[in-house]
Amino acid sequence: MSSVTIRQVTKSFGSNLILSNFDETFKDGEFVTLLGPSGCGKTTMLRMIAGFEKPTTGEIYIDDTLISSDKVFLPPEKRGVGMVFQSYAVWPHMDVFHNVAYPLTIAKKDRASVERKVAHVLDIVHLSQYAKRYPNQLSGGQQQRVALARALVAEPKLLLLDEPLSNLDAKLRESMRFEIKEIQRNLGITVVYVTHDQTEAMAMSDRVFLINRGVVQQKGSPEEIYRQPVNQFVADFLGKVDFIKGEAGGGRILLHHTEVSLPYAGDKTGAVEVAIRPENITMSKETGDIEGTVTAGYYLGDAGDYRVAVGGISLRVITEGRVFREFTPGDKVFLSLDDFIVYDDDGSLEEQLKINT
Amino acid sequence: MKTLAGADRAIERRTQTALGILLLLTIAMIALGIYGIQALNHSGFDDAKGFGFIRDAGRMAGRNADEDAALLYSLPANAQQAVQGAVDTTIRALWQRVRYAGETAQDFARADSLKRQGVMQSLLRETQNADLQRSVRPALEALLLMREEIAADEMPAYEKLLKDVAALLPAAEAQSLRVRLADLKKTEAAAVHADIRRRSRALFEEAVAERRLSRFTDGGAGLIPVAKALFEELHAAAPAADLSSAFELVKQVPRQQEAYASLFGLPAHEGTRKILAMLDAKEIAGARLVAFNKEAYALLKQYHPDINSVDHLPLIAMQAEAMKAEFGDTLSRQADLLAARARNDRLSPLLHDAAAAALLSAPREKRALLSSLIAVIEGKDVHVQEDGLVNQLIAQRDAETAGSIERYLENLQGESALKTKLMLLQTLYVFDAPRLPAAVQDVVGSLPDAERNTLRLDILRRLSGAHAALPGAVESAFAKDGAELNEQLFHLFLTSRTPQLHVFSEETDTGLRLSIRQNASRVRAAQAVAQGGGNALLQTVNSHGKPLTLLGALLFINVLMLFFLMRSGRDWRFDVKWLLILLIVDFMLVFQILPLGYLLFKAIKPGDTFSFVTFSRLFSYNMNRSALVNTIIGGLAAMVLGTLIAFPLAWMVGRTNMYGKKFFRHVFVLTYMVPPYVGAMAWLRLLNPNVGTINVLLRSFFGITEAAGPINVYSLGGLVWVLTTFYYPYAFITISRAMEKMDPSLEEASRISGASPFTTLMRVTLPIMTPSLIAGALLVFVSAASCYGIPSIIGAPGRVHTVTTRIIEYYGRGTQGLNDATGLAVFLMALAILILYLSDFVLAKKQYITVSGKSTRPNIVDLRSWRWPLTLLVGLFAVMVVLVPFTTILTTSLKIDVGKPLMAEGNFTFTQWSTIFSRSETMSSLQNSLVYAGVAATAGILVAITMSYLMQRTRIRGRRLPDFLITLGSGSPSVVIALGLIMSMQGRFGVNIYNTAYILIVAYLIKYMMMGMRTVTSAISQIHISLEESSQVSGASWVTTMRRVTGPLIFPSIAAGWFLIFIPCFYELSMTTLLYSNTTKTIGFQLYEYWTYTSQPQASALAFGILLIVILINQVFSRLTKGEFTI
Repeated sequence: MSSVTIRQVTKSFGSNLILSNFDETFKDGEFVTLLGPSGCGKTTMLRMIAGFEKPTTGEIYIDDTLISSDKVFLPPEKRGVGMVFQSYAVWPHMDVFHNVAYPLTIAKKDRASVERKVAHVLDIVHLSQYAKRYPNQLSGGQQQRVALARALVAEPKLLLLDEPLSNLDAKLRESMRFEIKEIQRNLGITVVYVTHDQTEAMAMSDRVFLINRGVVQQKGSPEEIYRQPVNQFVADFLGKVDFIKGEAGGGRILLHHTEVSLPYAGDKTGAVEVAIRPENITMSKETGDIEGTVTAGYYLGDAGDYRVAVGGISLRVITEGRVFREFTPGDKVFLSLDDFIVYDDDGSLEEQLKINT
Repeated sequence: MKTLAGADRAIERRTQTALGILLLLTIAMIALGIYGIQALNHSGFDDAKGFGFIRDAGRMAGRNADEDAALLYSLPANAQQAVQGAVDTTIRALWQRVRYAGETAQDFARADSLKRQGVMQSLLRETQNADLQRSVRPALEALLLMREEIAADEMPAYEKLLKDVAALLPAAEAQSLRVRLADLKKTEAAAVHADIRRRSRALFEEAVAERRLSRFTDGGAGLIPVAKALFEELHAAAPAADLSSAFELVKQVPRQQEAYASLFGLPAHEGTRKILAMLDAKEIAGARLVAFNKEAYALLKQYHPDINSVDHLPLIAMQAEAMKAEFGDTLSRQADLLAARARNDRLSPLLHDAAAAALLSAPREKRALLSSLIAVIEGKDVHVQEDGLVNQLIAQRDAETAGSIERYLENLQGESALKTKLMLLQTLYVFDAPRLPAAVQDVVGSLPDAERNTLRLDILRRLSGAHAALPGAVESAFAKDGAELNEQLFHLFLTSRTPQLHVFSEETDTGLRLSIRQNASRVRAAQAVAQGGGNALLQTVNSHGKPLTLLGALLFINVLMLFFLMRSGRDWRFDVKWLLILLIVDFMLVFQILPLGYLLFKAIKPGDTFSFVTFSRLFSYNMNRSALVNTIIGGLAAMVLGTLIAFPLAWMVGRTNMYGKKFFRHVFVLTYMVPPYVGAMAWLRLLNPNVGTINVLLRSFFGITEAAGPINVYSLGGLVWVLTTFYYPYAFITISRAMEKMDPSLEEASRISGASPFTTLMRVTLPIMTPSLIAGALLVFVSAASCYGIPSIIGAPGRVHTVTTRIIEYYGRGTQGLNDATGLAVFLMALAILILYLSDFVLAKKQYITVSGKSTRPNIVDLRSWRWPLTLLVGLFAVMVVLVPFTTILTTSLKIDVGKPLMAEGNFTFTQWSTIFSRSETMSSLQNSLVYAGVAATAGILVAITMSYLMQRTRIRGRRLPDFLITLGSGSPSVVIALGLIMSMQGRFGVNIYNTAYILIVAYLIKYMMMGMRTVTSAISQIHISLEESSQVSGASWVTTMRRVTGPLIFPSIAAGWFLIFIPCFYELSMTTLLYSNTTKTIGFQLYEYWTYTSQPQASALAFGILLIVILINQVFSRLTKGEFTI
C-alpha cells in the first residue's frame, strides 16, 4: 500500500563504510527481502527506513513523503511503519493484549476500536485465546506472533521485519514463513524483510536484494537470482555451487586439471570460471559426457550427496535419495551437465567469497 | 544386577553404621561438655576465666582458714588482671575528662596499660593541680564502684546492697553521723574542697564545652568582645594590687603558662593590655574563653556587688546573647534567664512558666516535687532560691544539662550546704537514677577523708531506708557469672581495702570478711572440681566444658547434615567436597548464626524469664522512638532521593549522547569506594551552621546578618543529604547494570509503535526497570538505615539519633545498656531481613531483565539542544557531591585554624599532615587495618572461590546452604553483627576472641565476604563450561585446566573480588567501634577519634590519606587486571 524510495543512501560508522550508495525503490504491496551475510548492511538499511539510524548521505521516501535526508529526519514514531524485531521485543510487563494494543493507545484511539482491532489482529496471528497471558507464559513462536500482531495492529503502510524467524526452531520457522507470507498477501501491505537465510528469502519474496559488503550485488525475483547469478558471490551465497577454473575458446571450455571439455556457446574466451550446481549434474553408471570416480557418498533422505573425482578436481553431485544405493565409493560413473554458468576468471573469486564482517 | 544391588546395600549399611557411630561420639562429646559446665556451675562459676580464678582462690583458701579472705584479696593472677583492667578503665575515664589537653594524647595511647597510671599522674602534675588527683580519682573510683549496680533493672539488687551496708551501722553511729554533719557546717574544709572540686568540675566542663565549641564555632569568637568588655570593667573596678588575682584567669589557658608567669611581674595596666591582646589574637578561645568570661564576671561581682545594676546590664545581656549563639538550644534556656535578668524583668513568671511546662510533661512521681517548686516560686523568697531553682528546672527540662545542678552545688556554702546537697541527692534519685553515682561522687569527693564514710553511709541509708544483712551482697556477687564476679570481688576488695575509700566502717569490713570466709567452703568445692581428683581427663572436661560442648554440637550438626545429604543421593556415596561446605557452614554457624540467635534470645529473655520488657522499655523512651523514626525517615528519604538522583544519572550516562559519560561513570562509582564518614566530615565542614563554607558564602551572598544558618547540617535534613550523597551510587550501579542488560529493541519497538522517546521512557523503560529500581532503592534504604559512620558524625552533635548510634551509645552503659542495645539491634535486624527477603526472593522472581543473547549497542537518545545543559547539570552535581567535599577535606587538612580561609595570613600549613603521619598510633592503626583487611580479603576470596566453583561447576547437594548463610551475613547490619559477636564471643559459648584481632577479622568476613563471592560467581558463570571441557578434551588435567584456562580468565574478577572485600574492611568503622581494643585499633576508628576528640584538620589529613590509599589500590588493581577490573 505504500512504496519506499531510497536515493543514494550511504551509511558509515566513523570510517567504517556499512552501506554504499543504496539506490532502490520498493514497490507498493511488494514483499522485498534484503538478503546477505551478517554485517553486510542489510539490518542497517532496515533501521534507516525505520528511523533508528540516520543515513550519512542520501534520501529516503515513503510514498512521496521525504522521511530522511540531510535536512529532514523523521523520528521512528512519526513514520507510521510497523516493525518486528529479531528478539521479538515483547514487553515483559504487559500482557498480550496490552502489548498489541500499545500502538493504538499511543495514537489515543478510542477503547472500542482498540479492542476491536486488537481482537482482529490477534485472530489473524491465531493468538485470540492468549490475550490475557504475559510474555513469560508464551512460547518463542507465540511471542513472535505477538510482535507481529503489534506491528500490524495500527495497519501500517509498511512492515519491516528484522530477521524475525532466526530465533525459532527449524520446524516453527518454516510454518511461520508461510503465515507471514499469507498475512502479507491478505493485507496487501509492503514488506521489507531482512534475513541471512536464503531459503527464507526465496520462499517469501517477490524480489530479493542480495547485499554484500554494503553493496547490492543483485536484485530480482528469487528464480532470477538463483538461475542467473550475476557474479560468483551470488552464485555461491544462493544454493550450492562448485567453481572450476577453465579455459574457454573455440566453442568449448577446457576444465583445468582434467581432460574434460564442455560445449560452450557463450562469447567469453580465455580464463574462465565455471559455476556448476550439484543438482544440475546427472549421474549415471552407463552413459554421460564426463567420466569420474565416486569418492564419497552421503545419504540425506530426500537426496544423495556425492563427491566425484574427475581428473584432478572434485565435483559435488546431488541425486535423488531413492537411487542412493546405486552408487558407492570407488564406482566408475558418468556425469552429464544440464546447466552451468561461466564467469570471467579475473582472480576475484577468493575476494568475493570472503564475507565482510 | 542382583550382586550390584547387594553391594550397594552393603555400602549403604556400612555408611549408615559409620554415621551412627560418629553421631554417638558427638553426643558423648556434648554430654562430657555439659558435665564440665555443670561441674563449673556447681562451683558458682561458669566460664573458664572464673574457673581459673576460683581454682587459684581455692588453692589459697586451702592453706589457712584464718586468712581465707585476706588471701582471696591478695590478688592471684586473674584477679590482678581484673584489678589492672579496672584501674585502666578508671584512668581511661579520668583521661576522657581531661583529654582536652590534646597534646599528650599521644603519650597516653603509646604507653601500655601498666604505665598509664604514671602517665596519668604526670599529666595531673602538668595541670598543676595536685588536688585534682586527690579528689577526682577516688571520686571516679566511687563512680566505678556503683556504675554496674546502678542500671535500672539492677536497682533492686543495688538497693539491697545499700540496705545491707546500712544495716551494719549501729544506732549510735547513726547518731554520731548527725553530730558530725552538724560539725561539718562549721568546718572550713567544705569550702576548701568545694574550691578544688569546682576547679576539677570546671576542667571537665571545659573539656565538654571545648568539644562542643570546636564542632560548632570558630572557637567562640563571638565571646571575645564580651571578654574584653568584662576585663576592661574589671580593670577599672578592681584595685590595682588585686588585679593579680584577675591575671590568674589566664591560668585557664594551659598553653599560656609563660604568659601567665610573666603577667605577675607586670604593672597592672600592662598586664591588662597583654590580656586584651591575647584575647584579640584568639589565644584564649573556645571553652577557655567561656571559663574566662565566667571567672571575670564572678570577679567583677566581688568588686561590684551591684553588678546587676543598670550600668552593667548590657554586659550581662551580651554574655547571654553570646552564650545563646555559641551553644544553641542546649543553653538557650539559661541564656534566656540570664537575658531576662539583664533586662531586669521579673524572673518569676519565666520560672513559673518553665516549671509549669515541666510539670505537664513530667511523670507522676516527679509532679509533687515540681508542684512544690512552683509553690516556692510563687512564694516570697524567690530571689534566695533563684539560682537553685533555675538549675533544677533546667536539669528537669534537659537531661544533658544536669551539670548545672552540680554548678549549683558549688555555689552552696556554709550553713545549709550539706543539707541541701543531701536533699538534692534525693531529688536526683527521684529524677534520674543513673546520675546518682556522679552526684554521690561529687558530694563525697568534696568531703575530708574522715567525714566521707559516715556521710556516704548516711546517703546510702537515706536512699534505701530498709535494712538487711550484708552477706547478701557477697551472695549476690557469687551469683553472678565469671566475668562479672571478678569485677564484683574486685569492687568488694576495693571498697574494703583502698585507704581513700573507707566506705565501710571497721565493723562492716569485718562483716564482709566473715561472709567471704563463709563462702570459703564453696571456694574449696570449686577447687576440688578444678583439680578433678587428679584425673587429667576430668580436669580437662571441667575446665573446657564449654568449648567441648560447642565442638560436640557442631560436629553433631555436621554428621546430621552429612546423613541427610547422603540419604538424598540414594547411593550413599560420600563426596569430599561436602567437607568444604561443612567447614564454611560451621564457620558461619559459630560466628554468625550463634551470635545473631543469641542476640535475639537475649532480647526476648533479658533476665531470667522470657518477656518483651526490653522492647516496651525501649520504646517508651522518647529518644529511642525518635531514633527509630529518624532511622526510618532518614533511610526512606535517602532511598527516595538517592533513587531519584540515580535513575536520571544512570539513564543519561547509559542511554544518551551526553558528553563525558565515561568520566562521569567513574566519578559516581568512586563515591562507592569512599568511607562514608569521610563524606560526613566534608559536609560537616561545608554546612556547619556557623562556620560552614557554604553557609558563610550564602550569608555573604544574600547579605544575611545572622551568625548562623541558613543551612544546618546537624539536622535530620542534613543527615538525609549526606546519606543520599553517599548511598546514591548503590542505586546508580544497580540501575546502570540493569540498563546495560536491557534489550534495546524493547525501546525501539515502542518508538516504532508511535511513542516519543519520553513516552517510551515512561511506559516501557521505566516499568521494565522497576524491579531493578526497587532493588537499588531497597539497597540504599537498608544501607542508609544501618549506617553508623554518617549519623555518628552528623547526627550526634545535632542530637539526631539513629538506631545505630543509639545501639553504640547503649553498648557503653553496662548490662542494662547491653539489653537495650540488643532490643534495638533486633529491630534493625528485622528490618534488614525484611529487605533481604524482598529483594532476594520476591523481587528476584519479578526480574524482567535477562542478558540478551546478542550484544547490541544500546539506544542512544540524542539530547540535541539539551546536550550541553544536561551535561553541565550532571557536571555540577558531580562537582557538588564529589569534588567539593573532597576538596574541603584537603583544604581543611592544610589549615591551622579551620574557621579561617585557607589562604588567610599564616593559615596554610603542612604540619597537620606531618603531625598525623608521624604519630606512632596512626602508623600502628594503619598497619592494623592493612593486616586485618588483607587477612579478611584473602580468607574471604578463598571461600568465595570455593563456593563459586561449587555453585557454578558442580551439582553437589547442599551447595546452596553456605551461599544462603553468606547472603544473610552480608545483609545483616554491621552494628548488629558486631553486637552479636561481642555478646557471644566472650567465652559464654566456649569461644573467647573478644578484644583480639580475630573478632574484627571474623566480623569483616561475615559482612563483606559476599562482595567477593558475587564477583567471582558471575565471572565463573560467564565462562562457558565448554571452555574448560575443551581444555580437558585437549588432554589437560583438571589442575592444568584451572591454571591455564579458568585461572587466567577469572583472575581479574578474583582480584576485583579481593579488592571489594579489602576496601570496606580497610576503612570499616561501625563494627570496629564496638570490637576494637587498645591494641587492635584500626585506621577508620583512629580517624573517628581524631575527628571527635583531637583535631579536625589532622583528621582531615588522615581522611585524605585514606582516600588516596583507596584510589591508589584501585589503580594498582586496575593496572594489574589490565583494566578488566570494575566494580
